[in-house]
Amino acid sequence: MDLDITGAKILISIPELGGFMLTETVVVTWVVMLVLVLACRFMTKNLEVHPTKKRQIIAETIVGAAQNLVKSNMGEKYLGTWYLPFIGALFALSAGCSLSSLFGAYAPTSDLSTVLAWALFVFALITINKIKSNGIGGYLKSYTEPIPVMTPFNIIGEIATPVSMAFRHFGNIASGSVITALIYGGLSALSGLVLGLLPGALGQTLSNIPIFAAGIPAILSLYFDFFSSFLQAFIFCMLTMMYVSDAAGDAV
Amino acid sequence: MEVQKFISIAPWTMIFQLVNLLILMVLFKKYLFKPVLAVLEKRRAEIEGHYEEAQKAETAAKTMKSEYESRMAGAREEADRVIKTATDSANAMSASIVEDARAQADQLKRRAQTEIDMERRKAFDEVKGELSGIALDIAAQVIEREVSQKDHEAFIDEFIKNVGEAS
Repeated sequence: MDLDITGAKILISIPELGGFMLTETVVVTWVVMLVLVLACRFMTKNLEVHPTKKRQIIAETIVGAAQNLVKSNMGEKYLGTWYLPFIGALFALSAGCSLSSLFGAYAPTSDLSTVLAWALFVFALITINKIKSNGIGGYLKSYTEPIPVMTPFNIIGEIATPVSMAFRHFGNIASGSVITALIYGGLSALSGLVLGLLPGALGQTLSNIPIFAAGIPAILSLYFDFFSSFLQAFIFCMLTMMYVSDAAGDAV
Repeated sequence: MEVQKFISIAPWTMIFQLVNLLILMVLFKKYLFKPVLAVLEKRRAEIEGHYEEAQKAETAAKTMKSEYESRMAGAREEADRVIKTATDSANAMSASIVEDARAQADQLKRRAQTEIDMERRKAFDEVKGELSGIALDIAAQVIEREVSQKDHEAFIDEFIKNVGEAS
């Protein structure tokens, strides 16, 4: 029984082009995006002022929930900005990518590159908002507060924000898939071992079928794949909204 | 097939994933938020319109009610006035009718009185004439003597006077 815990498969690699490579991560993300966009198109097809279709009510509920989330964490004035679709897309893509492991695909969020890219973008938003509200001088000066000696720690603290966001998300999803793989492997091995004790041809046949691997991993997967997917997407969005509105001086 | 390490940072993947996120943001705005918010706004406008219409209708109803009330009050006043006028004119008419009737009755009474008086005098004169002849005859027969014209007349006058007193 071999158990490989690896990253994403590299589908296309062109080292001559600055180390260009297309990995499983990106392809699965495209599929998730396609599903999400098709779902949006389906839900918002033929919208009516007096809704009669369930899908319109679902679409309105989703939009309302996104508005509520942004309003309660960032403030009313962010509702008309790009932050609303950004938070919506961030949540949907994060959750969708994590949930893709339920369909046996590689979860793009268990690739550190994915969440690190998102976290760095959020970090850029935070910094832009800080500079916007304090000016470049005020922003730089904030590193020397309360005393200049604290500057290195402030810099570390600033960098820690995207790093912790990225690793929290990556760690939760990746560890979930690792644990699921381990339990699968462990239960299959146990199944082979126990059933192999049966005498004759019966034992030999049954020990090749990982009977124990049925059932138990599904329950654990409910937490690691399903619950954790939504939870991490939610946490990532919450942190983004809180950091950004805090940086803009609009802490709610 | 080549496989990445479990923990690895690939710059191209990062670029792809960030661009993917931004593309999804744009698509979400275009296909989810924009149409849904537009329809919500339309609904809000429609509800606002309904409210406005209801308010307008209420105001109109209130105006109508006050107009109706004032008109009703006017009508009541008018009715009172009409009744009063009618009563007054009726009173005046009845008074004049009574007056007329009284006057007419008085006139009738007076005429009747006059007629009665005239009849009486006529009868009186007739009786007087007849009586004087009868009395003359009776007297001539009773006393069988010539009575002077003067005594004669005096006698008759006395007689008639007595008759008149007796009648």
